[in-house]
Amino acid sequence: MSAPDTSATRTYALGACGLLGAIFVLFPLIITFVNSFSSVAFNIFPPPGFSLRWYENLAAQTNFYAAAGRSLYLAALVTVVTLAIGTMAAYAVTRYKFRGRGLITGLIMAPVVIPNLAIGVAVFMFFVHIQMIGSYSNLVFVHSLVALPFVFVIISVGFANFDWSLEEAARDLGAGPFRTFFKVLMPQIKINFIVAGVYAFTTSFDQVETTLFLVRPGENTLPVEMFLYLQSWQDPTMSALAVVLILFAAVLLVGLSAVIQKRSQVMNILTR
Amino acid sequence: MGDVELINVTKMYNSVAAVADISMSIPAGCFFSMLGPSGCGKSTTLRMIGGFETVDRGTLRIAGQDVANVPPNRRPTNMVFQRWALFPHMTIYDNVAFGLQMEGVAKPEIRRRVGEALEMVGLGKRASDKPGKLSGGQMQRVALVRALVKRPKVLLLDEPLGALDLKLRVQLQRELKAIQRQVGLTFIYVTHDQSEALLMSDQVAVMSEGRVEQIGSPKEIYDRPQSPFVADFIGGTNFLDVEVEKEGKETVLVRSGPLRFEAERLGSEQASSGVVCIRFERIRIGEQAAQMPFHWEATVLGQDFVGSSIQYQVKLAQTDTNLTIQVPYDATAAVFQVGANVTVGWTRSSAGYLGAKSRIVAR
Amino acid sequence: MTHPAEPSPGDAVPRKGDRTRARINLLILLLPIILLSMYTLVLPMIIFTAYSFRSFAGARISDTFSLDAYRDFFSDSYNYSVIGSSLQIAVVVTLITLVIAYPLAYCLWRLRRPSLQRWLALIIFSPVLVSVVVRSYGWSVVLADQGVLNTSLIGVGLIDSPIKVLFTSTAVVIGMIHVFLPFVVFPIYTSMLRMDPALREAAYDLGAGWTMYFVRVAFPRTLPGVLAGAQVCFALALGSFVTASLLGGGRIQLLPMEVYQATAEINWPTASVVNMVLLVLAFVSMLAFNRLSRMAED
Repeated sequence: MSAPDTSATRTYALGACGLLGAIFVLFPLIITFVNSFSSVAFNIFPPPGFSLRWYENLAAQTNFYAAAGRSLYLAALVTVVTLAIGTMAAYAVTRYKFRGRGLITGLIMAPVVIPNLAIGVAVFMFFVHIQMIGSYSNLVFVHSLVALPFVFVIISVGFANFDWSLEEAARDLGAGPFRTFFKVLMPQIKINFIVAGVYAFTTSFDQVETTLFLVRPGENTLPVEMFLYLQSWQDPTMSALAVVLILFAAVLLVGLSAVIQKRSQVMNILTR
Repeated sequence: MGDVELINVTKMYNSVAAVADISMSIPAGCFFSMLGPSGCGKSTTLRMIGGFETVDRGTLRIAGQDVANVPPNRRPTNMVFQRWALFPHMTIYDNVAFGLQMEGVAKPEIRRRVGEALEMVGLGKRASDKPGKLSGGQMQRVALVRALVKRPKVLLLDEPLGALDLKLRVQLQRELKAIQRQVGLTFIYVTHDQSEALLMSDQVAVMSEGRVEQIGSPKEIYDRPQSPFVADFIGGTNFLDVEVEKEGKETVLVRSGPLRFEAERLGSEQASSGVVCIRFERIRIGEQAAQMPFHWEATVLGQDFVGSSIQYQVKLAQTDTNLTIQVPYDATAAVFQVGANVTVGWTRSSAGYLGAKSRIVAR
Repeated sequence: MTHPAEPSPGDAVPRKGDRTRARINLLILLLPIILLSMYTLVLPMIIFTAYSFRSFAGARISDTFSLDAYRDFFSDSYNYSVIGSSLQIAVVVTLITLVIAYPLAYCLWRLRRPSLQRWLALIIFSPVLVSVVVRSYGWSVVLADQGVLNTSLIGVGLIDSPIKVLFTSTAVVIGMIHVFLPFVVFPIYTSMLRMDPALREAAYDLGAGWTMYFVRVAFPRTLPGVLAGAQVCFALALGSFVTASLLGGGRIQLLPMEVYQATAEINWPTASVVNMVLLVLAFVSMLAFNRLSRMAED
C-alpha cells in the first residue's frame, strides 16, 4: 500500500527504533575492537594509548590455537552428523503420517526448552557412570543433540514447500532412493541445507555449558578455553581474540550472503 | 450518487506503465466489470479507486469528489478482496461488525445491522464461528456483507470468485447480481473470466496492457468488438486478413484470396486492408451453408466434441485459410468426418470488418 | 514378513508388502535421531535424576536411596533466594527483550528499501555467529568501572563518580538481553511475515486508522510470535551460565552457578537436585507458555 497510509512521525519513530537497536547490538563489539588496541591491561575507556601487545600476547598463547583447531574439527563433524540425521528425520516426519509423529517431533525439539547446563551436567554424570568420559565422540553427540532441533526445523520447512511429484517422477523414471535424494531433493533445498549447516557449525563452535564438564583438562575447545581464561585474567588479550573471531564470523557472513544473494527467498523459506 | 470517473489516469511501476492514460465513466448503480488477461491493469485500476495505489497522473473522482489524496479509510468505497481477507482471529460477527465499530456506530445498531447482513446471506447461525470453520463460498459471502454493511457508495470486487469451483462460482455470480439489483449500489468488478463478466455486468471494460480496448454492454462487446483483441478475448473468433474492394458507410466488400464477400463495418477507420472477424458459431456448415449468401467448398481437417457443441476445423478449397466452426451438438444431426468435403457459409451480418489500424491481434 | 497380495477390487487397498516396506523405511530414517536422543538426553536425564536421590558425605556419594539432598536444599532459605533471583532475572530479561525486539521486528518488516532491510537483518542476526563468550565479555568491557558507559555518563555530567554496573544483576540483565535479542526478534518477525498483507488493506478499507489496525489486527496476528519469543527467552535466561558468570562475577548467584559449583565439588547429589529444580522450572514455564499460546489462539 503506498503513500496514503504512512505518517511521518511513525516513520521516524520506527527508523529511530531500528537505528537504536542496531547500535545496541553492535555496541559491545565495537568497544571490544577499540579495547583490543589498548596499551594498558585493565579495561579503561578511552584507551590511553595504542598498542598491539595484546595481539602479540594472543599469538603467544599456543593453547588457543590447539583449542581453535579442536573446535573447528568438532564443529565440522557436528555439521555433517546433524545434517545427515536431521534430514532423515525431517524427511520421515514430513513425508509419512504415523502414530507417534507428535511424540517424535517433541523428542527432537526437546533440547530447545532444556537449559544447556542441565544437559551438560546430566551427560557428564552419565558418561562418568558408564565410564565413557573423556571420549571425543561424546562431544560430537552432545553438540549434535543441541544443534539438531534447528537443523530439523530448517530442513522440514524446505520439505514442506517441496513439490513431491518431483520425487515420484524420479522414482517412476527408475531412480533409486539415494539417487533421487541427491539429484532431485537436495538441489531443491540447497538453501535450507546451507543455512542449517551454518547454524549447526556455529552452534557447535559456541557450546560452553554442555562442553565444560566433558573436555579433558588441557584439551579444551576454544569457547571453554576462553571462558576459563576469563576466570583468571581480565586483560584485553580476550578483546584481541574476540576481534579475530568477529572477523571470522564476518567472513562467514559475507560468504553466506553471496550464496543467498542468488536466492532472495531465504526469509520466505525460513518462515513458512 | 455513486458514480466513478477516471480521466487520463496513469500509474507507473518503476518505469513501466501498469495503467496508461485510461478514462472511464461509471454511472451510479451500474454493475461495471473490468475484464482482461493478467497484467492488463484491471486490478491496479480497482486498487486506485479504492485508495490502495496512488494515481500518478490524471484525475480520479468518486461521487463528484476528487479523491487523489484521500486515504482508503475515508473513501466512500469498500472492497471485497480476492482471498477475502477475513480476520482469522475474529468471529464472523466481529468481522462484519468491524467496519461499523470503526465508524463509531452504537452497539445495538451494530447488532441489528450485522444480524440483518448475515441473515441476508444465510449465515445468521454461524455468527460466532471463526473464518477457519467456513467453506470458501461462505467466506466469500461474509467478505461481501462485511463490505456492504457499511453502505458504501461504490463496492469494489477484486476477482472474488476465483478460488471457488465452477458450480459454486456460477451460483454466486447470480447471487451477486441479485444483491446488486437489490441494494442498487455501484459495483465495480474485476475478472479475467469473460463468461463471468458477460453474465453479471451492465457495462464491461475490456483492458489489455494498461489500456482500455473497449467499453460497452455485454452484447455490444460480443457483437461489435472494436479491436481484434476484444474479438479474440471474448468468445471464439476466426480472423481473416482482407483487402477492401468497395467501401460503404456500414458495409464493405472485401476479398481474401479467391473469397469475395460483404462484411459489416465494426470500426470507423478508412483503410485499404484490414481484418474480418467471424465468430465460430456464426459459420454454417453442410446443407444450410449452401443457402448462405456467401458460401464455399471446404475440407474437414478435424472435429472436437466438447459436450454441448462440436467444433470443426476446416480448410477452404483453393486457399490456405483455416476456419473453426462451432455447431450445437444435436444427437440426430449428421456429424462430418475428417476428410469430408463440405460447404461452409455465412451472412454479411456474421462477418465484422476492422480497419488496418486494428490489425495487431494480441494473443 | 511380507504377505502375498490379497486380491482386491481395483487395487485401491495398499498391499501389506508396501506398508511394511514403508514402516521399515520410516524406522531406518528415525533410528539415528532416536538413538542419539536416548544416548545424550533420555539416559543422562534418568542417571542424574538417580543421583539426586543419593546423599553426599565425606566427599563420597552414597549407594543408597536418600532424600537428604532434597531435604538439605529445600530447608536452606538461601536456596529460595537463589531461585527467586533466577526467576526474577528471567522475567525482567524476557519483558525488556520483548519491548526492544517488537519494534525492531516491526521496523525490519516495514522497511521499504531492501538494501537497508538486509543490513538491519544482518546486524540483528549476525551476532549469533559470534561466540556468546565474546559478546558477554564485550559487555564486561563496556560496563567496567572505567569503561565507556561510566566515562560517557561522567563526561556528559549525569553522574559524578563511576557507578558500579559490572558484577551486578544489572550487568547480567543487559548481557542477557543482548545475547537473546536475535532469538526473540526472529519468531516475532516471522509471524509478521506470515500475516496476510490483505488484512492490512481490509482494515484500512473498513475505516480503521493505524492505531486501530495495529491493536485489533496486527498485534493479535503477531501474538503467537511474541509468545514463542518470550518462551525461548525465558528458558534461555533461566539456564544461562556463561553470560551470568562473566557479567555477574561471583556476586550474582543463580541456579546454574549452584549446579556448576556443586559439580565441581563432586557433590553430585546436590548438583542433581539443583539441576532438577532448574529443569522443573523450565518445564513449568514451557507448559505455562503453551497454555498462553492456546489461549491466544481463541
